[in-house]
Amino acid sequence: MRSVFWIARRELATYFVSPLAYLILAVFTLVIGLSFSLNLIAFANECLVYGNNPYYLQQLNVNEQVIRPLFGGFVPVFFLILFPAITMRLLPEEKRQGTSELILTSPISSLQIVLGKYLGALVVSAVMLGSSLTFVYVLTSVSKPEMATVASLYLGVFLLGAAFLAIGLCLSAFTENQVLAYVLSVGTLLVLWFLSGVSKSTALTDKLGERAAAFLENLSIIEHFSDFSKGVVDSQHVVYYLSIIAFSLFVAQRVVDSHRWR
Amino acid sequence: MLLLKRLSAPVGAVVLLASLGTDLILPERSTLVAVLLGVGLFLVLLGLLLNLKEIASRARGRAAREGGADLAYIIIVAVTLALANFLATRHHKRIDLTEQRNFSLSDQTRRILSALPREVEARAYYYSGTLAAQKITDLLDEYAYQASTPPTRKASPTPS
Repeated sequence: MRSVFWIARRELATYFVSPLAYLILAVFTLVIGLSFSLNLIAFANECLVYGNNPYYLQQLNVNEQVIRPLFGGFVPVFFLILFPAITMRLLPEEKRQGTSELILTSPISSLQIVLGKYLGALVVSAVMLGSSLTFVYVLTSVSKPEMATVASLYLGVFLLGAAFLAIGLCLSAFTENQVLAYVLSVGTLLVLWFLSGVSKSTALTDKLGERAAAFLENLSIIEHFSDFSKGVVDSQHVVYYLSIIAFSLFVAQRVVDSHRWR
Repeated sequence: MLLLKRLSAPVGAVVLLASLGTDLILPERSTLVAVLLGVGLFLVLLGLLLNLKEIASRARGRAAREGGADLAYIIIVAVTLALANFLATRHHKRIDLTEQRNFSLSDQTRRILSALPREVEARAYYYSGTLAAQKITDLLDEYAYQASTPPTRKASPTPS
């Protein structure tokens, strides 16, 4: 376990020594801040317009109109573009620098290597998510958001991000080329994302049948996120994301291990 | 014994696939699916246990054997996780964390939905992109989630 933390620490140092992590954090905070401000202004305007009508006032909900569109719709798309950029260098960089031989011949197991690198990337994503808590804090000063719903959203976003990172790490293990690793990751995530749309297509449902469409819907990575964004925590979605993470890390471990005997 | 050793894992995998197929095609045969699932899992585990030494020796063998073993491990992990997800979908816990339980249906509604005799078509007319549209979609999602036969949804053309 100690080796895992050492590798994670080294990864974190690499991220934060180079401008990559700062750039990603800056872009994330800027864009999410802009989107948050627009949502908040629109909500404030609605409060002003409908404030005198008790019925409409009752319908207004800061969670539904500010937080959910932000984290439920915008953040996952942002993750899909940014997270492969974090994972694309994890394993190919070692090969490019020629340090992979050193690591593979050291007494560290391939599982420890994979877990350490994954943990490093996960901490970067947690820092990103942590920075967005500022907006929730701002919101609490002007409104009363339901904190349990916000916690559910954050759990969902964290699990979704963790699954994205695991898939990205797994695919980066197959190639020495960082650009290829990025393209492969984004492509795979897009396919997993759009399975939901495919399953909802009437023509395909007619052809494949309801059960096959439901199966495709269950495979979709974003379909399992929608409940979290509403404030509903369902054990099946948690199991799905943990399965994706476990499987991706297992495949990555086998691929890294295969370099020892190749 | 030799036959059992050689065939139990592949036959188990086929039985597992058959259970998944049966569940997809004949979802009402839940007992058959459960029996096939149990038998398949038992055979796969038995095959793994009987071939444990061979698997271990292959793992120490040449590159091709290593690759084969890796692939086998990956398939086993994938099947195990697929089964875990299958079980998690069937037996799951749903917690609505919203203060006013916005996504929890009343017991009466649940009873009606679970006793629906046939498929129901739900039609909703709303302006897309509004809060009302979101609420209706969420409500229909909950109905679909609870219903024994999920309702068919028809999106109506909405003026923008």
